[in-house]
Parts: sequence; structure tokens; C-alpha cells
Amino acid sequence: MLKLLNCKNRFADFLLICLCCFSAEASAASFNWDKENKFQMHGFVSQSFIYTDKNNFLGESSENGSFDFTELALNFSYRAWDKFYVAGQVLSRRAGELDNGHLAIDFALIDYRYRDAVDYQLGIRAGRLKNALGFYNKTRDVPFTRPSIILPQSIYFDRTRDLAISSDGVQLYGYRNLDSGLLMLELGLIMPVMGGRNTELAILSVDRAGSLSGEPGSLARLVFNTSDQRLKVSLTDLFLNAVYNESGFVDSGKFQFRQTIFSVNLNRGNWDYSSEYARREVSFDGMPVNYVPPFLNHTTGESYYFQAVYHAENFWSAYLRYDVLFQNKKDRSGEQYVIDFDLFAGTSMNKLLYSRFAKDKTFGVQWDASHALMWRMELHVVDGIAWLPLQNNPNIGDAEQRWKILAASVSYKF
Amino acid sequence: MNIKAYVHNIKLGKLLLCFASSAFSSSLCLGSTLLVHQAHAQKNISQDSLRAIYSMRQRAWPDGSPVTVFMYASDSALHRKFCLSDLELFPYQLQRVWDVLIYSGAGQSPVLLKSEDEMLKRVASTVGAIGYVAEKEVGSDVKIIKLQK
Repeated sequence: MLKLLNCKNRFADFLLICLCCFSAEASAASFNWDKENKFQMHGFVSQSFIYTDKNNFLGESSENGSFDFTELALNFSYRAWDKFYVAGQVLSRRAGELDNGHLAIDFALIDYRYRDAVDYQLGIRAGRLKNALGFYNKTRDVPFTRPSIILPQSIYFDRTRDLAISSDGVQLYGYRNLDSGLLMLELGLIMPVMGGRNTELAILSVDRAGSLSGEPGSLARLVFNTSDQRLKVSLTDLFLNAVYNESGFVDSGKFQFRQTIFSVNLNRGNWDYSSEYARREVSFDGMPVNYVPPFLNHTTGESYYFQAVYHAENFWSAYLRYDVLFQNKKDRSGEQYVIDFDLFAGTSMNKLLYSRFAKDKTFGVQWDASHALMWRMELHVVDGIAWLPLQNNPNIGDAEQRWKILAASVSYKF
Repeated sequence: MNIKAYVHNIKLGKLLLCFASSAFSSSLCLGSTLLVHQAHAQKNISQDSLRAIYSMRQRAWPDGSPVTVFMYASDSALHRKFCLSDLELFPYQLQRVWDVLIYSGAGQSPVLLKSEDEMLKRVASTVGAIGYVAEKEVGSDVKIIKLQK
């Protein structure tokens, strides 16, 4: 297994070298070898440095900082026939103990455009599709489309990234031009791509002997964008299902996850304001009590953030964000959780209080050195550890409530 | 400041500049010259349609033939002028739309060209092409299409 991982890592390194060679050759933003401009290839590579004063994030970041956060991807698209279009992307992500840099198929799809009129478009996509959750999930690994190095973790937590990122399925999509703007609807039937250990840790907190497998679910998103793109609102509804099986158990346990996200983006010239609110319902049924204590069988969590970005004329921008997550909206401080846990396990764990919430104040700057090269630096002041990945912090008892993250990154695309 | 006021200010600035330098150039005063392939049937294009095409959402012309979209580098003055005056969008807004399409598999980006000469040649040789130049006078191997706002 280790050999295989090494091999995969070597392949990722090879891809990185290829990317660099390609990009050195490419003076344009895309390759166009074919005369009819039907084929395109794009990619990006990004390296981040992360330093935390306490706790570890995306690597062993708390000692001298960490360069363990590397992202790279290569994609292609081809307009096969007038109405058919195919696209695929491989992605490698190294993020401390969360990801080892192995190559994964991020998307691989075929798209059929049924209608392509001036005022409306209708189509269908099938294959491995990106999950369009809120504003950023679809391209959460692309530094150029996310607003900061680290996404607002309250909604786009890295803990459950494996489960959130893509699904296998079918999606109907449509655009409708109205006088006031553009309406977009996406309706998908999806089979979640289970991420193995990371997903189990995210759902069950511990890597258990059995395994979780995905069941059919759905994803719907409605977006309205005014013609001048000054206002954009979106509503997302995700319904995920999984079952837990372990040999020796008579019944399989059920896991259900429902997330609703309401997103608003307001553009005022050089100012760009965004806010998203998410509500999550997590339900377990038939799980052994020592895996999921009864008081965690039904929980509703909520998250929101406010963000302002200023785009200066000289390719500099600055961003400011306040981001909040509550694991249980009826127990924001985590006090009830500690009482329930005491009663259930017979041990007192006050540290658990702040594993139930997280509040993150972020300030960052971005410099677009060219249309292809981007630098960023940002500071996060965090209260709470609700989205702190367990993989790099195996002992929750050692985690600190108040911590800071300093991150810097350089990203290149072609 | 909203984009209309912003564009208005730019136009005002350019108008003054135009008065000052009318002997050298008059092309700064108005939007870009939109070009299509010779065989293209339409004479006019609405701003909504131009936005749908440059956002890479509308992939075919009304007659069903595929659209090929040409552009210049997003940090070039030509592109900036086209975004602000013709599309009335900020360049970073359009760039974000393309990046989301490209990296989620939902579409392609416009084809990037280096110069206006290349633009004229590529539009002339590609059926279904659309592009733009700053020059008001173009040869007969491409067709000018008028933007209706």
C-alpha cells in the first residue's frame, strides 16, 4: 500500500513537472492545437505556507509552519459534436494528514445541450460531477475561484471535503434570460463518492472497523443573477444518504445529511459583498450506541459568514470576513453537549465545549501579478475548534480554543 | 459607484481625451467594433446575447451553428475596454465566470488571441466566430455586427 502511495505521489510530482513545462511553453491562457478550437486544456498549481500558533491545520503547522498544502489539477474539454461536450479533470491535493497528494478524478462528464436559444438554454450532464453547493464548493480547490486561501470553513469545511466535492450521477440544467436577469436551475440525482477514512472520521469521529457506503441522494440549486451581475442570490438543497455496515452487526446503520444554503452576493463597483447561511440536519438511525450516542441521533447545525472584498484598480485586492459555525443551533455554547456526554460516558470533558462552535475573523490581501499568477496572504483569528480536522490533531484534549492561522500562497494557472 | 456611473465616468474622461487628441485617435470614444464571420446572418446583437456568449453560456447561434468566442488577455487594455463599455461588466467578474466553468467541467473559456491582426485573421477564417477590435475600419473578409444596448 505504501509503495502504491509513493507511486501515486511520484505520479503527482511527474504531473507537477509536466504542468511547469507546459506552462513555460504556454503564453496563452489555453492550448488550442486544433484549428476549429474545439479542444481546450487548462490547469493550475498552487503552493501554500501555513503557520498556526496553536493546533495544526492542513499539516504540522504549529511548530515552524508547514508547506504541506499543495494543489494541482489538469483538465481538458472537447466539443465533440455541436451539441455534445466532454470534459475531465485530475486533481492532486496534499494537505497534511487529510490528503497525501494522490491523483483523483475530480470530474469526468458528458454534456448534451438540448436547446441553445438566445433566451434559454437546456441541457443534461452525466458522469462524475462537481457538487454545486453554495457559491464555492464546485471549484473549492481552485485558488482563482475561491475568495481566500482557506475557504469559510463554517460551510466549506475541509473535514468533510471528500464527501462534499463530487458525486456520480445525472444533472439537468437550464438557464432562462429574463428582463431583470438570468435564472439558472440545476437538478441532480447523485451517488456520493465516499472518501474512506476521512469521511468516516467526519461522520463517526472515529475510523471504525466497518465501512460507510453511499446511497442515492439529490442536489438542487437555483440561482438568480441580475443582468449587470450586481446581485446574485442562490438557494442550494443537498440530500445525502449513506449506510454503515460492519460484519457481526445484524442491521446496518443509516446516515442522512441534509444541507440548505442561502447565498447572496452584492457587487458595487470595486466592492464585492457576500454572505451565506447554511443549515445542516444530521440524522443517524440504527447505529450502535457506543458509535453514535443517542443524544447525537438528530442534530441541526447552522453556519454563516459575511465577507467584503475590495478590488483596487492596480490588481490588488483585500478581503475581510467573519465566519461562524455551530454544530447544534440549540446548544451554541456546547454546554448541553458536555452535560449529555458526562451522563453518557461518565467522564467530564470541558474541552468538548469549544468543539461545538468556531468563529473565525479573517483578513487577507491578494495580488494578481498577471492574469495567470496570483499571490495571497491572510490571517485568521479563530475561537473554537468545531471545524478543526482531527487528522492532524489526533488528541482532541490537546486542542486549544483560541488560535490563529497565518497563510500565504502562490498560484499559477494556464 | 455602480458600473453604469463608472462606465459613464470613463466615457466622459475618454470624451475629453478624444477632444484633446482627436487628431490622433477617435477610436477611444466609443465601444469596440464587434466582428463576426462573413457568412453570419445577423446584423445586430443584443447586449444580453453578447453577455450570454461571452459568459460562454450560449454555445450556438440562433441557426444552431456553434459559436467560437475570441478574446485578448484579461489584463490587456482592449479586453478591459470591451468588458466595461460593451458588456458593462468588470473584467474580474467575467474571469470568475470562465474559471468556474473551466474548473467544474461546465464549459470552455474564450479562445485567447495575441493581437488585433490575429483577431481579424481568425474571425475571417472561422465560421461562427465572434470577436472585437478597437479599429473602426476593417477589411471586407470579416463582418461588423452592431451592439444594441
